[in-house]
Amino acid sequence: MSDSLSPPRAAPALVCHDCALRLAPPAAPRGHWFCPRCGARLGSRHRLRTQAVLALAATALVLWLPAVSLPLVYVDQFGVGGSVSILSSVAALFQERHGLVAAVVFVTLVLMPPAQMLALLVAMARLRAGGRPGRWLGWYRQGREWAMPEIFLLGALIATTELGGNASLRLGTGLFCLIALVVTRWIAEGLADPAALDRLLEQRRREAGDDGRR
Amino acid sequence: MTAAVESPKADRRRSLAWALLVAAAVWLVPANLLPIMTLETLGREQAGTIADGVLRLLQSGMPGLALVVFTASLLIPILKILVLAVIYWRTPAHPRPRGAIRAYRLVYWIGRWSMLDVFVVALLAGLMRFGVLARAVPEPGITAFALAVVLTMLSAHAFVTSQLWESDHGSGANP
Repeated sequence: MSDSLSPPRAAPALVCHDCALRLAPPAAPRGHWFCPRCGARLGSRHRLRTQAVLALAATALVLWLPAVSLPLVYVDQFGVGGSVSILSSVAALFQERHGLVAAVVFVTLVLMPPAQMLALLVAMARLRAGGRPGRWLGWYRQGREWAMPEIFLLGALIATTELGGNASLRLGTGLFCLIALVVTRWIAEGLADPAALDRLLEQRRREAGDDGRR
Repeated sequence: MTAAVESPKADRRRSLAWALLVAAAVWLVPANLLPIMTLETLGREQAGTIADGVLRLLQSGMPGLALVVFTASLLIPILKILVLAVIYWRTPAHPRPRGAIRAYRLVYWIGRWSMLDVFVVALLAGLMRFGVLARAVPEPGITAFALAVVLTMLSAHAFVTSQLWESDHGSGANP
């Protein structure tokens, strides 16, 4: 959500990401607990499984290219055939002189999903190597709301039902890759729990004897 | 004590959030009044607004999907702008910050689903480009709608949630 503007000054203090309340770090390393002031979830019951997240982010990256370039749906309309992929619909919007809509679709479906998964991949790889994820984690979080493949899937369902009456449709490989991409992303984001990540980073910072600067 | 330091920056971010929200509200007017897509079937042209799309789904016997599109395209954009406006209006030192942040979190994550209609138009435009008997052509309304949704998202992003508590009981809670 929104980032806090004041950097934490003292290393042992824990700062709520939503209301910037400073708290003492909890006694137990893990647990489901919330910010007493704003109710944001600050603690996770689960340990961060970096290896699983790493594998899922890599899978999502591999799925990305076929998902955007292969045909999603084939349509046969009164004997005239056609197909559409995400990239071809962006191209169509450009040619119809709707450059702004084309840009929005391009950013939310073609650019952001792999960029965000790449950021997660690098952040997890760095964490595993014992280092700091640095900016990569921030980029991953900023990108989360701008990657919208799951919304596009619902849109595809609605578009095909609107067509359904006067055309025969066949699902393409691109659609199955897209569904797999959405599911992989969901699991990866679920496992890369922000609360667990924050607490892990604070622990690393404390171990390094750092003064809390990012 | 931190409140005094971060106040100018938080103020600037709040002005930015307001500006983006007003721009989004302005774009929402043509987005709902102008047609978003023209469907040409068998030589019959039919330009439709967002509301027409909902009605079309309802008439073709899909009340569930019609409800989804109605919520995502008509209800949520307006609701999100109203909720954010009320939250910005009463900030800083919001009288009920806990309720405010709950509402903010809700509209923050639901707002992006408004992009649904943009994707429907994009897919139909890409699929029915070369159709001889049936064609789908995007219309200016969809640009206005996409802009309204993106601007609302940017506005929510610019808002600093911690200032809901500023100069309230926040300083007392800090050690």
